[in-house]
Amino acid sequence: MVVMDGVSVNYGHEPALGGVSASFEPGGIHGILGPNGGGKSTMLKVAAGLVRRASGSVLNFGLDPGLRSAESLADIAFVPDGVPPELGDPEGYARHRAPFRPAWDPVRYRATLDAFGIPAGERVRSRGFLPGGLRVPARGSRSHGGMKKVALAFALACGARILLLDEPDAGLDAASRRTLRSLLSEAAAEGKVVLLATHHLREYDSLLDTVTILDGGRLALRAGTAALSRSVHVERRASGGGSAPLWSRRTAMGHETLVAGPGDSLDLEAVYDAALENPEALAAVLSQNGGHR
Amino acid sequence: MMAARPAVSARRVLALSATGLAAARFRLAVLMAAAACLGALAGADGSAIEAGFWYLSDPRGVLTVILYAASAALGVVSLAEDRARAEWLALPASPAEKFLSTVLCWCLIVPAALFSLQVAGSLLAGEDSLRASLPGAGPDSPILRAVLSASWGIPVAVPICMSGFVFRKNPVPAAVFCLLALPMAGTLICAALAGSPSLRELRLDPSWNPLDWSLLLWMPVLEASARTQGERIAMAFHEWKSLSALVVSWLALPALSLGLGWIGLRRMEADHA
Repeated sequence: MVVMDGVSVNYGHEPALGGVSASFEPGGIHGILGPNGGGKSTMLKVAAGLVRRASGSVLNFGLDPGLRSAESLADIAFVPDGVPPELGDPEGYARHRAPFRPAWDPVRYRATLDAFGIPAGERVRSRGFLPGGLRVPARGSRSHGGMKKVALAFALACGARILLLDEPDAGLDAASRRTLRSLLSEAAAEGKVVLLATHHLREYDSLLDTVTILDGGRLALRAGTAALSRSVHVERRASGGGSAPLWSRRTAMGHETLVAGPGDSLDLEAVYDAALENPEALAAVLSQNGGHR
Repeated sequence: MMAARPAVSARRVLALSATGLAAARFRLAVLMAAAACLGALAGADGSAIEAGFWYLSDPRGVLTVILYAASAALGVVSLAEDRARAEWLALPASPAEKFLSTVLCWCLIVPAALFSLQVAGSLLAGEDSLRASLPGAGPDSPILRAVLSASWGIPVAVPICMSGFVFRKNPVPAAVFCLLALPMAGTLICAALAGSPSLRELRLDPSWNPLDWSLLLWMPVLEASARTQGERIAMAFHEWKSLSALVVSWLALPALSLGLGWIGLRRMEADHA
Protein backbone atom coordinates (compact mmCIF):
# COMPACT_ATOMS: atom_id res chain seq x y z
CA MET A 1 0.00 0.00 0.00
CA VAL A 2 1.24 3.47 -0.88
CA VAL A 3 0.15 6.24 1.45
CA MET A 4 0.92 9.89 0.78
CA ASP A 5 0.01 12.48 3.35
CA GLY A 6 0.23 16.19 2.63
CA VAL A 7 3.10 15.82 0.19
CA SER A 8 4.55 19.05 -1.19
CA VAL A 9 7.44 19.24 -3.61
CA ASN A 10 9.21 22.31 -4.94
CA TYR A 11 11.58 22.52 -7.90
CA GLY A 12 13.62 25.51 -6.87
CA HIS A 13 11.00 28.10 -5.98
CA GLU A 14 8.40 26.53 -8.25
CA PRO A 15 5.84 24.32 -6.47
CA ALA A 16 5.35 21.02 -8.28
CA LEU A 17 3.05 19.34 -5.77
CA GLY A 18 1.04 21.13 -3.13
CA GLY A 19 -0.15 19.16 -0.12
CA VAL A 20 -1.30 16.06 -1.97
CA SER A 21 -2.77 13.25 0.09
CA ALA A 22 -3.75 9.93 -1.43
CA SER A 23 -3.56 6.24 -0.72
CA PHE A 24 -3.28 3.44 -3.24
CA GLU A 25 -4.44 -0.03 -2.32
CA PRO A 26 -2.76 -3.27 -3.40
CA GLY A 27 -4.54 -5.19 -6.12
CA GLY A 28 -5.56 -2.05 -7.97
CA ILE A 29 -4.55 -0.07 -11.01
CA HIS A 30 -4.48 3.57 -10.13
CA GLY A 31 -4.41 6.22 -12.83
CA ILE A 32 -2.55 9.48 -12.26
CA LEU A 33 -3.96 11.93 -14.76
CA GLY A 34 -3.48 15.58 -15.50
CA PRO A 35 -2.24 18.09 -18.02
CA ASN A 36 1.45 18.53 -18.84
CA GLY A 37 3.19 19.97 -15.82
CA GLY A 38 0.33 18.92 -13.58
CA GLY A 39 2.58 16.94 -11.24
CA LYS A 40 2.02 13.35 -12.43
CA SER A 41 5.67 12.42 -12.88
CA THR A 42 6.60 14.21 -9.68
CA MET A 43 4.01 12.20 -7.78
CA LEU A 44 5.48 8.96 -9.12
CA LYS A 45 8.99 10.10 -8.27
CA VAL A 46 7.86 10.93 -4.75
CA ALA A 47 6.54 7.39 -4.40
CA ALA A 48 9.85 6.09 -5.77
CA GLY A 49 11.82 8.20 -3.30
CA LEU A 50 13.54 10.10 -6.08
CA VAL A 51 12.40 13.59 -5.21
CA ARG A 52 12.98 15.53 -2.06
CA ARG A 53 9.73 16.38 -0.30
CA ALA A 54 9.29 19.88 1.06
CA SER A 55 6.71 18.50 3.48
CA GLY A 56 4.49 15.50 4.05
CA SER A 57 5.17 11.81 4.30
CA VAL A 58 5.14 8.77 2.06
CA LEU A 59 4.96 5.19 3.21
CA ASN A 60 5.28 2.22 0.87
CA PHE A 61 4.10 -0.83 2.79
CA GLY A 62 5.22 0.98 5.94
CA LEU A 63 8.67 2.05 4.66
CA ASP A 64 9.67 5.59 3.75
CA PRO A 65 11.18 5.44 0.23
CA GLY A 66 12.99 8.71 0.93
CA LEU A 67 15.34 6.89 3.29
CA ARG A 68 16.35 4.80 0.30
CA SER A 69 17.10 1.61 2.10
CA ALA A 70 17.81 -1.43 -0.03
CA GLU A 71 14.66 -3.09 1.32
CA SER A 72 12.31 -0.27 0.36
CA LEU A 73 13.90 0.22 -3.07
CA ALA A 74 13.69 -3.49 -3.86
CA ASP A 75 9.92 -3.23 -3.50
CA ILE A 76 9.63 -0.48 -6.12
CA ALA A 77 9.81 -0.79 -9.89
CA PHE A 78 9.88 2.66 -11.46
CA VAL A 79 9.66 3.00 -15.23
CA PRO A 80 10.33 6.63 -16.14
CA ASP A 81 9.21 8.26 -19.35
CA GLY A 82 12.78 8.47 -20.61
CA VAL A 83 14.57 5.22 -21.35
CA PRO A 84 18.26 4.46 -20.75
CA PRO A 85 20.34 3.15 -23.67
CA GLU A 86 21.18 -0.04 -21.75
CA LEU A 87 17.68 -1.26 -22.61
CA GLY A 88 18.97 -2.05 -26.09
CA ASP A 89 20.32 -5.27 -24.60
CA PRO A 90 17.49 -6.90 -22.61
CA GLU A 91 19.59 -9.82 -21.35
CA GLY A 92 22.46 -7.56 -20.28
CA TYR A 93 20.09 -5.11 -18.64
CA ALA A 94 18.54 -7.87 -16.57
CA ARG A 95 21.88 -9.49 -15.80
CA HIS A 96 23.18 -6.33 -14.14
CA ARG A 97 20.04 -5.39 -12.29
CA ALA A 98 18.53 -8.70 -11.25
CA PRO A 99 21.09 -9.24 -8.43
CA PHE A 100 19.41 -6.40 -6.55
CA ARG A 101 15.99 -8.01 -6.81
CA PRO A 102 15.44 -10.88 -4.37
CA ALA A 103 12.22 -11.96 -6.10
CA TRP A 104 13.54 -11.72 -9.66
CA ASP A 105 11.68 -14.06 -12.04
CA PRO A 106 13.68 -14.71 -15.24
CA VAL A 107 10.97 -16.92 -16.73
CA ARG A 108 8.42 -14.17 -16.42
CA TYR A 109 10.87 -11.67 -17.90
CA ARG A 110 11.34 -13.83 -20.97
CA ALA A 111 7.61 -14.48 -21.24
CA THR A 112 6.84 -10.77 -21.04
CA LEU A 113 9.44 -9.95 -23.67
CA ASP A 114 7.89 -12.65 -25.86
CA ALA A 115 4.46 -11.14 -25.32
CA PHE A 116 5.83 -7.80 -26.51
CA GLY A 117 7.42 -9.46 -29.52
CA ILE A 118 11.06 -9.05 -28.51
CA PRO A 119 12.89 -12.22 -29.53
CA ALA A 120 15.42 -13.91 -27.26
CA GLY A 121 18.97 -12.76 -27.76
CA GLU A 122 18.05 -9.69 -29.76
CA ARG A 123 20.57 -7.09 -28.84
CA VAL A 124 20.87 -3.59 -30.14
CA ARG A 125 23.98 -1.79 -29.09
CA SER A 126 23.70 1.85 -28.25
CA ARG A 127 27.06 3.20 -29.21
CA GLY A 128 28.01 6.43 -27.59
CA PHE A 129 30.99 8.22 -26.23
CA LEU A 130 30.07 11.83 -25.71
CA PRO A 131 28.87 12.87 -22.26
CA GLY A 132 25.55 14.51 -21.67
CA GLY A 133 23.51 11.89 -23.47
CA LEU A 134 24.88 12.67 -26.94
CA ARG A 135 25.16 9.41 -28.77
CA VAL A 136 26.21 8.11 -32.12
CA PRO A 137 23.11 6.50 -33.62
CA ALA A 138 23.49 2.79 -34.21
CA ARG A 139 22.04 1.03 -37.23
CA GLY A 140 18.94 -0.91 -36.31
CA SER A 141 18.72 0.70 -32.90
CA ARG A 142 15.67 -0.08 -30.81
CA SER A 143 12.89 2.49 -30.92
CA HIS A 144 11.69 4.38 -27.87
CA GLY A 145 8.70 2.03 -27.70
CA GLY A 146 10.95 -1.01 -27.96
CA MET A 147 13.09 0.25 -25.10
CA LYS A 148 9.98 0.92 -23.07
CA LYS A 149 8.84 -2.67 -23.56
CA VAL A 150 12.10 -3.95 -22.09
CA ALA A 151 11.78 -1.60 -19.12
CA LEU A 152 8.18 -2.71 -18.55
CA ALA A 153 9.12 -6.38 -18.80
CA PHE A 154 11.82 -5.89 -16.18
CA ALA A 155 9.44 -4.01 -13.89
CA LEU A 156 6.84 -6.77 -14.14
CA ALA A 157 9.37 -9.56 -13.52
CA CYS A 158 11.49 -8.00 -10.77
CA GLY A 159 9.12 -8.99 -7.99
CA ALA A 160 8.47 -5.45 -6.76
CA ARG A 161 5.10 -4.97 -5.12
CA ILE A 162 4.82 -1.37 -6.28
CA LEU A 163 4.87 -0.56 -10.00
CA LEU A 164 5.31 3.11 -10.84
CA LEU A 165 4.83 3.62 -14.55
CA ASP A 166 5.26 7.02 -16.16
CA GLU A 167 3.63 7.09 -19.58
CA PRO A 168 4.06 3.33 -19.98
CA ASP A 169 2.24 3.34 -23.31
CA ALA A 170 4.25 6.16 -24.89
CA GLY A 171 5.68 4.93 -28.15
CA LEU A 172 3.94 1.55 -28.00
CA ASP A 173 1.95 0.35 -30.99
CA ALA A 174 -1.73 -0.61 -30.64
CA ALA A 175 -1.08 -4.33 -30.18
CA SER A 176 1.58 -3.69 -27.54
CA ARG A 177 -0.74 -1.35 -25.67
CA ARG A 178 -3.33 -4.13 -25.53
CA THR A 179 -0.65 -6.49 -24.25
CA LEU A 180 0.37 -3.96 -21.66
CA ARG A 181 -3.17 -3.58 -20.37
CA SER A 182 -3.47 -7.34 -20.06
CA LEU A 183 -0.16 -7.58 -18.18
CA LEU A 184 -1.13 -4.78 -15.84
CA SER A 185 -4.39 -6.56 -15.02
CA GLU A 186 -2.41 -9.68 -14.15
CA ALA A 187 -0.07 -7.69 -11.93
CA ALA A 188 -2.98 -6.12 -10.09
CA ALA A 189 -4.60 -9.52 -9.67
CA GLU A 190 -1.42 -10.66 -7.92
CA GLY A 191 -1.88 -7.93 -5.33
CA LYS A 192 0.56 -5.41 -6.66
CA VAL A 193 0.01 -1.66 -6.45
CA VAL A 194 0.07 -0.25 -9.97
CA LEU A 195 0.34 3.51 -10.36
CA LEU A 196 0.41 4.75 -13.91
CA ALA A 197 0.53 8.23 -15.32
CA THR A 198 -0.96 8.53 -18.78
CA HIS A 199 -2.60 10.85 -21.26
CA HIS A 200 -4.38 8.04 -23.11
CA LEU A 201 -7.59 8.25 -21.13
CA ARG A 202 -9.95 6.31 -23.37
CA GLU A 203 -7.75 3.22 -23.36
CA TYR A 204 -7.94 2.96 -19.59
CA ASP A 205 -11.67 3.57 -19.10
CA SER A 206 -12.30 -0.01 -18.09
CA LEU A 207 -8.92 -0.81 -16.56
CA LEU A 208 -8.40 1.74 -13.81
CA ASP A 209 -9.71 1.18 -10.31
CA THR A 210 -9.14 4.74 -9.16
CA VAL A 211 -8.25 8.01 -10.82
CA THR A 212 -6.22 10.81 -9.30
CA ILE A 213 -6.36 13.97 -11.35
CA LEU A 214 -3.73 16.62 -10.71
CA ASP A 215 -3.83 20.16 -11.96
CA GLY A 216 -1.00 22.55 -11.27
CA GLY A 217 0.31 20.26 -8.56
CA ARG A 218 -3.02 20.25 -6.73
CA LEU A 219 -5.44 17.40 -6.37
CA ALA A 220 -8.39 18.16 -8.65
CA LEU A 221 -10.16 14.83 -8.18
CA ARG A 222 -9.62 11.50 -6.54
CA ALA A 223 -12.26 8.84 -6.97
CA GLY A 224 -12.88 5.21 -7.69
CA THR A 225 -13.97 4.43 -11.23
CA ALA A 226 -16.85 2.31 -9.95
CA ALA A 227 -18.14 5.25 -7.96
CA LEU A 228 -17.70 7.52 -10.96
CA SER A 229 -19.78 5.15 -13.08
CA ARG A 230 -22.49 5.21 -10.42
CA SER A 231 -22.42 8.97 -10.15
CA VAL A 232 -21.99 10.51 -13.58
CA HIS A 233 -22.54 9.69 -17.21
CA VAL A 234 -22.27 11.37 -20.59
CA GLU A 235 -25.33 12.41 -22.53
CA ARG A 236 -25.31 13.34 -26.17
CA ARG A 237 -27.82 15.97 -27.09
CA ALA A 238 -28.73 17.82 -30.23
CA SER A 239 -28.93 21.10 -28.32
CA GLY A 240 -27.29 22.53 -25.21
CA GLY A 241 -30.47 22.45 -23.07
CA GLY A 242 -31.54 20.00 -20.36
CA SER A 243 -30.34 19.46 -16.80
CA ALA A 244 -27.35 21.44 -15.55
CA PRO A 245 -24.23 19.73 -16.91
CA LEU A 246 -21.05 19.25 -14.96
CA TRP A 247 -19.20 19.68 -18.19
CA SER A 248 -20.21 20.22 -21.78
CA ARG A 249 -18.55 20.04 -25.15
CA ARG A 250 -19.78 20.98 -28.57
CA THR A 251 -19.43 18.24 -31.18
CA ALA A 252 -20.38 17.85 -34.82
CA MET A 253 -23.57 16.03 -33.72
CA GLY A 254 -24.59 18.55 -31.06
CA HIS A 255 -23.42 18.54 -27.45
CA GLU A 256 -21.79 16.03 -25.13
CA THR A 257 -22.50 16.73 -21.52
CA LEU A 258 -21.49 15.08 -18.28
CA VAL A 259 -24.42 14.92 -15.92
CA ALA A 260 -25.15 13.39 -12.54
CA GLY A 261 -26.63 9.92 -12.46
CA PRO A 262 -25.52 6.37 -13.17
CA GLY A 263 -24.54 5.39 -16.69
CA ASP A 264 -23.68 2.30 -18.69
CA SER A 265 -20.01 3.07 -18.99
CA LEU A 266 -17.43 5.51 -17.78
CA ASP A 267 -16.21 8.20 -20.12
CA LEU A 268 -12.91 9.02 -18.47
CA GLU A 269 -12.15 11.83 -20.87
CA ALA A 270 -15.32 13.66 -19.92
CA VAL A 271 -14.63 13.14 -16.23
CA TYR A 272 -11.11 14.42 -16.71
CA ASP A 273 -12.29 17.58 -18.44
CA ALA A 274 -14.97 18.13 -15.82
CA ALA A 275 -12.44 17.69 -13.02
CA LEU A 276 -10.26 20.39 -14.52
CA GLU A 277 -13.06 22.80 -15.42
CA ASN A 278 -15.62 22.28 -12.69
CA PRO A 279 -13.98 20.33 -9.86
CA GLU A 280 -16.26 21.54 -7.05
CA ALA A 281 -19.48 20.48 -8.78
CA LEU A 282 -18.05 17.08 -9.70
CA ALA A 283 -16.81 16.57 -6.15
CA ALA A 284 -20.23 17.45 -4.77
CA VAL A 285 -21.94 14.87 -6.99
CA LEU A 286 -19.41 12.22 -6.05
CA SER A 287 -19.80 13.01 -2.34
CA GLN A 288 -23.51 12.41 -2.60
CA ASN A 289 -22.74 8.95 -3.95
CA GLY A 290 -19.93 8.26 -1.52
CA GLY A 291 -17.40 8.11 -4.32
CA HIS A 292 -15.12 11.00 -3.47
CA ARG A 293 -11.98 9.92 -1.65
CA MET B 1 7.07 -9.55 4.96
CA MET B 2 10.47 -9.39 3.35
CA ALA B 3 13.45 -11.00 5.05
CA ALA B 4 15.89 -8.57 6.62
CA ARG B 5 19.00 -8.06 4.54
CA PRO B 6 22.44 -6.96 5.70
CA ALA B 7 23.17 -3.21 5.63
CA VAL B 8 26.24 -3.76 3.47
CA SER B 9 26.35 -6.81 1.27
CA ALA B 10 29.57 -7.63 -0.60
CA ARG B 11 27.49 -9.28 -3.30
CA ARG B 12 25.51 -6.10 -3.91
CA VAL B 13 28.68 -3.98 -3.87
CA LEU B 14 30.21 -6.22 -6.54
CA ALA B 15 26.99 -6.22 -8.53
CA LEU B 16 26.89 -2.42 -8.41
CA SER B 17 30.49 -2.25 -9.60
CA ALA B 18 29.68 -4.59 -12.48
CA THR B 19 26.69 -2.43 -13.37
CA GLY B 20 28.85 0.69 -13.45
CA LEU B 21 31.49 -0.98 -15.59
CA ALA B 22 28.89 -2.35 -17.96
CA ALA B 23 27.27 1.06 -18.37
CA ALA B 24 30.60 2.60 -19.42
CA ARG B 25 32.00 -0.34 -21.34
CA PHE B 26 32.48 1.48 -24.62
CA ARG B 27 34.25 4.43 -23.02
CA LEU B 28 36.30 2.04 -20.92
CA ALA B 29 37.35 0.10 -23.99
CA VAL B 30 38.72 3.32 -25.50
CA LEU B 31 40.72 4.01 -22.35
CA MET B 32 42.02 0.45 -22.21
CA ALA B 33 43.17 0.67 -25.81
CA ALA B 34 44.88 3.98 -25.05
CA ALA B 35 46.67 2.44 -22.06
CA ALA B 36 47.91 -0.49 -24.12
CA CYS B 37 49.12 1.82 -26.91
CA LEU B 38 50.91 4.03 -24.41
CA GLY B 39 52.71 1.03 -22.97
CA ALA B 40 53.65 -0.18 -26.43
CA LEU B 41 55.00 3.25 -27.35
CA ALA B 42 57.12 3.35 -24.24
CA GLY B 43 58.37 -0.18 -24.78
CA ALA B 44 59.16 0.34 -28.44
CA ASP B 45 61.86 2.92 -27.78
CA GLY B 46 63.34 0.96 -24.91
CA SER B 47 62.45 3.34 -22.13
CA ALA B 48 59.35 1.50 -20.98
CA ILE B 49 58.35 1.66 -17.37
CA GLU B 50 61.87 2.39 -16.29
CA ALA B 51 61.57 5.97 -17.46
CA GLY B 52 58.68 6.81 -19.68
CA PHE B 53 55.84 6.61 -17.24
CA TRP B 54 57.00 9.06 -14.66
CA TYR B 55 59.24 11.70 -16.07
CA LEU B 56 57.54 15.00 -16.53
CA SER B 57 59.90 15.67 -19.37
CA ASP B 58 58.32 12.74 -21.19
CA PRO B 59 54.88 13.56 -22.53
CA ARG B 60 53.92 9.92 -21.97
CA GLY B 61 54.10 10.54 -18.23
CA VAL B 62 51.58 13.34 -18.54
CA LEU B 63 49.46 11.22 -20.86
CA THR B 64 49.41 8.48 -18.27
CA VAL B 65 48.16 10.87 -15.61
CA ILE B 66 45.46 12.06 -17.98
CA LEU B 67 44.54 8.43 -18.66
CA TYR B 68 44.04 7.71 -14.97
CA ALA B 69 42.16 10.94 -14.56
CA ALA B 70 39.90 10.05 -17.47
CA SER B 71 39.14 6.64 -16.00
CA ALA B 72 37.92 8.21 -12.77
CA ALA B 73 36.11 10.91 -14.73
CA LEU B 74 33.92 8.19 -16.27
CA GLY B 75 32.27 7.82 -12.89
CA VAL B 76 31.78 11.58 -12.73
CA VAL B 77 30.28 11.70 -16.21
CA SER B 78 27.82 8.95 -15.42
CA LEU B 79 26.55 10.85 -12.39
CA ALA B 80 26.31 14.21 -14.14
CA GLU B 81 23.33 13.10 -16.21
CA ASP B 82 20.01 13.52 -14.39
CA ARG B 83 18.46 10.36 -15.78
CA ALA B 84 21.48 8.22 -15.07
CA ARG B 85 21.82 9.63 -11.57
CA ALA B 86 18.18 8.93 -10.81
CA GLU B 87 18.47 5.39 -12.11
CA TRP B 88 21.61 4.76 -10.09
CA LEU B 89 20.00 6.10 -6.94
CA ALA B 90 16.93 3.97 -7.55
CA LEU B 91 18.94 0.74 -7.64
CA PRO B 92 17.99 -1.27 -4.56
CA ALA B 93 21.19 -0.91 -2.58
CA SER B 94 22.08 1.16 0.47
CA PRO B 95 24.03 4.46 0.15
CA ALA B 96 27.07 2.80 1.78
CA GLU B 97 27.04 0.04 -0.83
CA LYS B 98 26.83 2.58 -3.64
CA PHE B 99 29.74 4.53 -2.18
CA LEU B 100 31.89 1.43 -1.73
CA SER B 101 31.15 0.21 -5.23
CA THR B 102 32.19 3.59 -6.65
CA VAL B 103 35.48 3.52 -4.77
CA LEU B 104 36.13 -0.08 -5.73
CA CYS B 105 35.26 0.35 -9.36
CA TRP B 106 36.61 3.75 -10.41
CA CYS B 107 39.38 4.26 -7.88
CA LEU B 108 40.90 0.80 -7.71
CA ILE B 109 39.84 -1.70 -10.33
CA VAL B 110 39.93 0.57 -13.37
CA PRO B 111 43.29 2.31 -12.64
CA ALA B 112 44.84 -1.09 -11.86
CA ALA B 113 43.49 -2.51 -15.09
CA LEU B 114 44.84 0.44 -17.07
CA PHE B 115 48.26 0.01 -15.56
CA SER B 116 48.26 -3.71 -16.30
CA LEU B 117 47.55 -2.93 -19.91
CA GLN B 118 50.35 -0.39 -20.01
CA VAL B 119 52.79 -3.01 -18.74
CA ALA B 120 51.42 -5.62 -21.13
CA GLY B 121 51.75 -3.20 -24.03
CA SER B 122 55.32 -2.46 -23.06
CA LEU B 123 56.23 -6.14 -22.85
CA LEU B 124 54.60 -6.93 -26.15
CA ALA B 125 56.61 -4.15 -27.75
CA GLY B 126 59.80 -5.98 -26.84
CA GLU B 127 60.90 -4.39 -23.60
CA ASP B 128 62.48 -7.10 -21.49
CA SER B 129 63.94 -5.12 -18.60
CA LEU B 130 60.88 -5.95 -16.53
CA ARG B 131 61.45 -9.70 -16.89
CA ALA B 132 65.19 -9.36 -16.29
CA SER B 133 64.59 -7.71 -12.96
CA LEU B 134 62.25 -10.35 -11.55
CA PRO B 135 64.78 -12.14 -9.27
CA GLY B 136 65.50 -9.06 -7.18
CA ALA B 137 63.16 -6.18 -6.49
CA GLY B 138 65.44 -3.58 -4.93
CA PRO B 139 65.08 0.15 -5.32
CA ASP B 140 66.50 -0.06 -8.81
CA SER B 141 64.02 -2.67 -9.78
CA PRO B 142 61.66 -1.70 -12.56
CA ILE B 143 59.09 -3.86 -10.81
CA LEU B 144 59.16 -1.69 -7.72
CA ARG B 145 59.14 1.41 -9.83
CA ALA B 146 56.30 0.04 -11.86
CA VAL B 147 54.23 -0.69 -8.78
CA LEU B 148 54.87 2.77 -7.41
CA SER B 149 54.14 4.24 -10.78
CA ALA B 150 50.82 2.42 -10.82
CA SER B 151 49.98 3.47 -7.32
CA TRP B 152 49.81 7.11 -8.18
CA GLY B 153 46.94 6.30 -10.43
CA ILE B 154 45.00 5.86 -7.24
CA PRO B 155 45.68 9.28 -5.65
CA VAL B 156 44.71 10.77 -8.98
CA ALA B 157 41.63 8.63 -9.49
CA VAL B 158 40.16 8.84 -5.98
CA PRO B 159 39.69 12.63 -5.77
CA ILE B 160 38.44 12.87 -9.32
CA CYS B 161 35.91 10.14 -8.80
CA MET B 162 34.76 11.64 -5.52
CA SER B 163 34.40 15.04 -7.16
CA GLY B 164 31.44 13.50 -8.97
CA PHE B 165 29.62 13.44 -5.66
CA VAL B 166 30.94 16.77 -4.41
CA PHE B 167 30.14 18.76 -7.57
CA ARG B 168 27.23 16.58 -8.61
CA LYS B 169 25.13 19.31 -10.22
CA ASN B 170 27.90 21.68 -11.24
CA PRO B 171 29.75 20.13 -14.16
CA VAL B 172 31.95 23.19 -14.80
CA PRO B 173 33.84 23.23 -11.48
CA ALA B 174 33.94 19.44 -11.56
CA ALA B 175 35.51 19.52 -15.02
CA VAL B 176 38.09 22.13 -13.96
CA PHE B 177 38.83 20.13 -10.86
CA CYS B 178 39.24 16.93 -12.81
CA LEU B 179 41.04 18.11 -15.88
CA LEU B 180 43.49 20.58 -14.40
CA ALA B 181 44.08 20.48 -10.69
CA LEU B 182 44.18 16.82 -9.92
CA PRO B 183 46.12 15.46 -12.89
CA MET B 184 48.65 18.17 -12.17
CA ALA B 185 48.77 17.15 -8.55
CA GLY B 186 49.14 13.53 -9.56
CA THR B 187 52.00 14.42 -11.86
CA LEU B 188 53.72 16.23 -9.04
CA ILE B 189 53.19 13.35 -6.68
CA CYS B 190 54.79 11.10 -9.23
CA ALA B 191 57.69 13.43 -9.71
CA ALA B 192 58.13 13.79 -5.96
CA LEU B 193 58.44 10.06 -5.53
CA ALA B 194 60.77 9.60 -8.41
CA GLY B 195 62.95 12.43 -7.21
CA SER B 196 63.33 13.59 -10.74
CA PRO B 197 63.19 15.87 -12.56
CA SER B 198 64.11 18.72 -10.29
CA LEU B 199 60.97 20.40 -9.12
CA ARG B 200 63.06 23.36 -8.12
CA GLU B 201 63.93 23.75 -11.77
CA LEU B 202 60.39 23.05 -12.72
CA ARG B 203 59.22 25.98 -10.64
CA LEU B 204 61.63 28.22 -12.48
CA ASP B 205 60.52 27.00 -15.84
CA PRO B 206 58.31 29.72 -17.34
CA SER B 207 56.34 27.14 -19.31
CA TRP B 208 54.74 25.95 -16.06
CA ASN B 209 53.73 29.37 -14.82
CA PRO B 210 50.03 29.01 -15.66
CA LEU B 211 49.87 26.13 -13.23
CA ASP B 212 51.70 27.86 -10.40
CA TRP B 213 48.57 27.87 -8.27
CA SER B 214 48.55 24.12 -8.46
CA LEU B 215 52.22 23.96 -7.53
CA LEU B 216 51.52 26.10 -4.48
CA LEU B 217 48.96 23.59 -3.39
CA TRP B 218 51.63 20.95 -3.44
CA MET B 219 54.42 22.92 -1.82
CA PRO B 220 55.22 20.22 0.76
CA VAL B 221 55.72 17.76 -2.05
CA LEU B 222 57.88 20.20 -3.95
CA GLU B 223 60.09 20.88 -0.99
CA ALA B 224 60.48 17.22 -0.24
CA SER B 225 61.29 16.48 -3.82
CA ALA B 226 63.84 19.27 -4.03
CA ARG B 227 65.69 17.82 -1.05
CA THR B 228 65.75 14.39 -2.54
CA GLN B 229 66.61 15.31 -6.05
CA GLY B 230 68.56 12.59 -7.71
CA GLU B 231 68.07 10.14 -4.89
CA ARG B 232 66.39 6.86 -5.31
CA ILE B 233 62.93 6.14 -4.02
CA ALA B 234 64.13 4.01 -1.15
CA MET B 235 66.28 6.83 0.15
CA ALA B 236 63.40 9.22 -0.05
CA PHE B 237 61.56 7.25 2.59
CA HIS B 238 64.29 8.11 5.09
CA GLU B 239 63.73 11.79 4.64
CA TRP B 240 61.18 13.05 7.10
CA LYS B 241 59.89 15.64 4.67
CA SER B 242 59.62 13.10 1.93
CA LEU B 243 57.76 10.83 4.25
CA SER B 244 55.39 13.61 5.21
CA ALA B 245 54.93 14.39 1.54
CA LEU B 246 54.15 10.77 0.92
CA VAL B 247 51.63 10.72 3.73
CA VAL B 248 50.01 13.87 2.46
CA SER B 249 49.86 12.81 -1.14
CA TRP B 250 49.19 9.09 -0.79
CA LEU B 251 47.00 8.99 2.28
CA ALA B 252 45.65 12.41 3.19
CA LEU B 253 44.45 13.45 -0.25
CA PRO B 254 42.57 10.23 -0.97
CA ALA B 255 41.25 10.11 2.59
CA LEU B 256 40.05 13.71 2.39
CA SER B 257 38.50 13.00 -0.99
CA LEU B 258 36.75 9.92 0.30
CA GLY B 259 35.35 11.90 3.21
CA LEU B 260 34.15 14.69 0.96
CA GLY B 261 32.78 12.12 -1.48
CA TRP B 262 30.76 10.44 1.24
CA ILE B 263 29.32 13.78 2.35
CA GLY B 264 28.57 14.61 -1.29
CA LEU B 265 26.84 11.29 -1.82
CA ARG B 266 24.62 11.81 1.21
CA ARG B 267 23.75 15.29 0.00
CA MET B 268 22.97 13.87 -3.42
CA GLU B 269 20.72 11.30 -1.76
CA ALA B 270 19.04 14.09 0.19
CA ASP B 271 18.48 16.10 -2.98
CA HIS B 272 16.47 13.23 -4.33
CA ALA B 273 14.58 12.24 -1.22
